[in-house]
Amino acid sequence: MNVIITGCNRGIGKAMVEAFAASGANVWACARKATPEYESWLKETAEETGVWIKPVYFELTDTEAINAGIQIIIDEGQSIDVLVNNAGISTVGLLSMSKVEDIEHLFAVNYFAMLRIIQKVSKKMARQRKGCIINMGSIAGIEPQPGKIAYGSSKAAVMMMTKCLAKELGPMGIRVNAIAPGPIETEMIRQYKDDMLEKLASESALRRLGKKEEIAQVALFLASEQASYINGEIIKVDGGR
Amino acid sequence: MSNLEKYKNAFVEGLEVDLSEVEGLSMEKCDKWDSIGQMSLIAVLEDAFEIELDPEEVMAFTSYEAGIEILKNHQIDL
Repeated sequence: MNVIITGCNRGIGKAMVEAFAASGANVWACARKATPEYESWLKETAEETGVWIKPVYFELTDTEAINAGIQIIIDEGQSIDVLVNNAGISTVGLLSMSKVEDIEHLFAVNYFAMLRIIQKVSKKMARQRKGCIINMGSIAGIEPQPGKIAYGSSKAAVMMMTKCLAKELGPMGIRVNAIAPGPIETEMIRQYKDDMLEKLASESALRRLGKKEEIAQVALFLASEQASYINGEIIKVDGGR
Repeated sequence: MSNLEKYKNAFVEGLEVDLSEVEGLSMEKCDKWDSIGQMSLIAVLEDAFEIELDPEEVMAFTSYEAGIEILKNHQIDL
């Protein structure tokens, strides 16, 4: 299995690279920019698991860079079995304290970049008559919260996009699903204070935050043959809220 | 394989029609050429000719003849 994963340099994306590689999948690991730590981690993970992991770099706000990055992958001529659209950014802010330009930027990264990547990759998958696309949604796109107008709206858009694309691409053998994580222990969530983290944990029936590996395992399942009849679903992974 | 053969084969593969039906084919005349068939046809064509059609070209690609004109924009003569 060959898999494209975006946002691999940290958090859930990093856990996904590890999970997919451990399962024997080859990975195109997409990130914004190269760092020695990132490249050596990819190399080590590939050596440990016996798969290939190739770094691909592009900035999600740069249309040309996205196209060029995905084209590099397509030009390799290998099958693209799975696309995991994980990359995203998060903000918290009431509308009265938010600049619309910042919200546009967030949508550019969280929604439009994802759409652009899918547009290119789905053509390749259509030729293969097979493929699996997994988009990263969020519980924030399901449960309205003050301060989440930008992030929550962008993730709601991602999840509706997922359902529409599942209908459009299903006839070509391409499954499109999304994962909607609750609060997960990642770098992204460290912007919250301790009391907020405790509150978030208490909102889960399991009384804890999720682990990034717990999201990666769901992606792995969705990508597997065991999920071959799951299409257009939003899988909430939130410990029960 | 000539460009014309590649072009015709794209219809055969993308729309799953017989080679004898390809010339003169249009969306109106072909039940299999719906929006899904369109995506499949475009995917095969882009692969065959190593090009990328923009959304306006995809929308305008509604017949065998229209496709020939669109490919000319990409310096592909049939």
